[in-house]
Amino acid sequence: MAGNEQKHPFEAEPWTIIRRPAISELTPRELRLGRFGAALFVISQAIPYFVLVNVRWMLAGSYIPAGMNQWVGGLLPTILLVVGILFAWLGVHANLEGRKGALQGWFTVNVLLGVAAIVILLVALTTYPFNTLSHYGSIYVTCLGTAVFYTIVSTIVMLGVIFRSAAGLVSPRTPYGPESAAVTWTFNAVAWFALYLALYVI
Amino acid sequence: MSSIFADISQSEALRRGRRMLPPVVRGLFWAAIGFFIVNTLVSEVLDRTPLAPYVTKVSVTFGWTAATCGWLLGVGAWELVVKPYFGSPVEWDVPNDWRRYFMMSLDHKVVGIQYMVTSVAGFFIAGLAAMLMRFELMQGNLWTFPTPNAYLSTVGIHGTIMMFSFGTVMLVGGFGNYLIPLMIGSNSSAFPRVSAISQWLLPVGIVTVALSPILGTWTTGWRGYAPLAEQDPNGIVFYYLGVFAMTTSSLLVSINLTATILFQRAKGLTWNRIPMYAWGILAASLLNIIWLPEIQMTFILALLNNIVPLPMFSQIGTPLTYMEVFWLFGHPEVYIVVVPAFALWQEILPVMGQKTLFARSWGVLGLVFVMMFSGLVWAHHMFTNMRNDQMLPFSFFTEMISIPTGFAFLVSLGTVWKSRLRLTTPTLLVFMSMFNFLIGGVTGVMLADPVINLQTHDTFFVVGHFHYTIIGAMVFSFMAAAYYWLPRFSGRMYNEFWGKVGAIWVFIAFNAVFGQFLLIGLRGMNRWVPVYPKYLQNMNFEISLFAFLLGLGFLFNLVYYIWVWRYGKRVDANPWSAKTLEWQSTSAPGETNFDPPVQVLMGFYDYSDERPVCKPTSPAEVS
Repeated sequence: MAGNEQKHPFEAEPWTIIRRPAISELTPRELRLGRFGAALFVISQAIPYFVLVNVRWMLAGSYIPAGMNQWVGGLLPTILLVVGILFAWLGVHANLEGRKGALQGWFTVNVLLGVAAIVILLVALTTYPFNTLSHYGSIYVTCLGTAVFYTIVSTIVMLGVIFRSAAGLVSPRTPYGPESAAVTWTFNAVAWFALYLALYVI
Repeated sequence: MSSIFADISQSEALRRGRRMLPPVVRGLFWAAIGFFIVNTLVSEVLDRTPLAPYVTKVSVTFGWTAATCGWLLGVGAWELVVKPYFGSPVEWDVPNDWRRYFMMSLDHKVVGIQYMVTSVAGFFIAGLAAMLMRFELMQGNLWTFPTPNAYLSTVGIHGTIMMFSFGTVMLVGGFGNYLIPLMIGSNSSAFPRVSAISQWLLPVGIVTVALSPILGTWTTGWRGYAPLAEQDPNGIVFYYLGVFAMTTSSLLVSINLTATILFQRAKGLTWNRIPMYAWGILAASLLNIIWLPEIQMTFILALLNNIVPLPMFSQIGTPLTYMEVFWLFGHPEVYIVVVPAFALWQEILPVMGQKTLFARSWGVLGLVFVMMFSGLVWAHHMFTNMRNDQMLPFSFFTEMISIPTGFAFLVSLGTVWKSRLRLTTPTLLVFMSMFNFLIGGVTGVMLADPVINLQTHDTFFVVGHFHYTIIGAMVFSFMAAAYYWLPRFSGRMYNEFWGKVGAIWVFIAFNAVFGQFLLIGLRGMNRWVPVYPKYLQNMNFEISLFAFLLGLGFLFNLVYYIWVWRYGKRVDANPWSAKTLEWQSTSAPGETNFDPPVQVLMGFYDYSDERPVCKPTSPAEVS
């Protein structure tokens, strides 16, 4: 390899061709790294919710409108998302025990819950009985819009794990995918629950 | 064993895959398709209003979102992120020549260079806007811009692109991506796909803000003040969207670099051995992770005011509310910009003096405490809107933050003291940066005093102050770092004479411009207005001449830098005899940094110890 030895260190090979399975085994350290990255992401995305929840200055003097449907846009998506936390972690647990079918089953239920929550929130966003120029109306549509966005994200994340599991890429030795999806779902559900309390209860 | 995170960039020698459009061309094509489809859908179907134009505030918002997604997918996210997420194998061919810089890359060095080039492009676009402003201010009447709003849009474009594509980005996304994995002995950043995506959001943001006047002028400056912004035409929508793209870019890269510094360190690189620049990046990244999402949500609320529209910050809340949530981010932003610059002083001076870094732990403490205090000073931007008793705590903390800032000065000066200092171009630029920040810091302490603050509010004194802190400290430190690491990036060395000519040129021009900003501000020159009293014209005329000289100085440095990179004299791998790990590897973009991985044996700043700082180790060993 005399030619290589004489090659200047700042010249590279002509092509780098990346061919890899989408996912492979993780070392404990890599798992910790993934968990840390997910935690940082969740912390960063919790901050917009702090801004939204801390809207007492906006809600000051407002009230929950009399014709408000407490179910659509309120209780129903809250129930769907919060129940989904349990199913998401049941899926994670199933994966750790090597029950691939159970993982896919629980996560599929969650995708359905997510789609249902999105539809209900969109219905609420189009049928509310008040003016968006009111104190309550402005906060309401902003919070529901945020909830729809994050619910779409967490549902897609769940869907990705189902596809990867079906392709044989998720196993007890690669627990990060289901775990991060469950963390994302839990974050979204808890954050929405906080918004729900601010909008409907407090 | 491979992983989904750090090792994904390691190549396998397989055949080259199928050909496709060049990724940037494909990205532009998909962006155009996305914009056309979604804009048409919104403006002509879902939100159709008789006689409304094809592009409305609402449609352009959704169209821009679709275009951005199309762009990211086209430049490589489709193959590198989306398809693998749904179970397909990663398939991405990277030519190891100039073309790799025009596509999504998992190589941290390629991403770093992409960031640097994009960021410098943003700097010169924003600089061009500054030249136009100074051209206008050569006369006291409106003679260059057609309307005051056109002038204000230019001010806004200058500040926005300078802050969000250069000040926040260059030292973190640019040098950080390239150097941090090298400096900590890693072959990759922790989440290469995250940085790959984040880099390609930056040009989206720059182009969006630069083209915002196409949709109409906007008057708010880089702060996007609501409810003032509600009066503006559609251009303000592109301000919010462009800033959203650029801040998302910085947020993602900060998450990646934080995880990289904490988890990717080589064996033996313990906490008390982490390089100073890595400490600076860690502090700035943590600030980014906390404050960028805060301002993003604020800007989304302001955007909704424009496109729904909602009455937030006017009937609901007050203009003061917006100012509070903006400056809650706005002042930590200053430290996001300058903390890495402080770290650079402490990185370069021990090498140039070949002397042990003085009081290293106090230097680290200074960076950390500046980071922590930065969230306690924001209301000094709003003294004109506050009661006297509310000002006091913010005045106090603003003055107190000069103490940990002083640590950076003391550590640097203590390192230089009795050292065998080589007065190279990087050394000179570090001293210039320290001098400039001293002026910025002293005027900052003056502005922390409500009496002076209220007298000089919205004058050029304030403009001079923050240009001394940001350009003076960050840009001069950036130039120092650029010359310092030029041999590492290119394998070539600049000529000291021409390097110093470039440094002295911008230093003289910079001080001639912004020193006089301080003086003309005290004489009554106001910000935000293209017209001013006759008695200020001579000084403004002269300032503008020096501003053009400053612009030419930056251009000279850029041209010379590119020339050296291409044709400069070849040089040894470690021409400064530095001890940090980036100098222990000669890997170019596309090559592995450390093969085999290294084990760190001692700290990097003890120049009294002649032993090697690292040795090769087995691949699995990391700290």
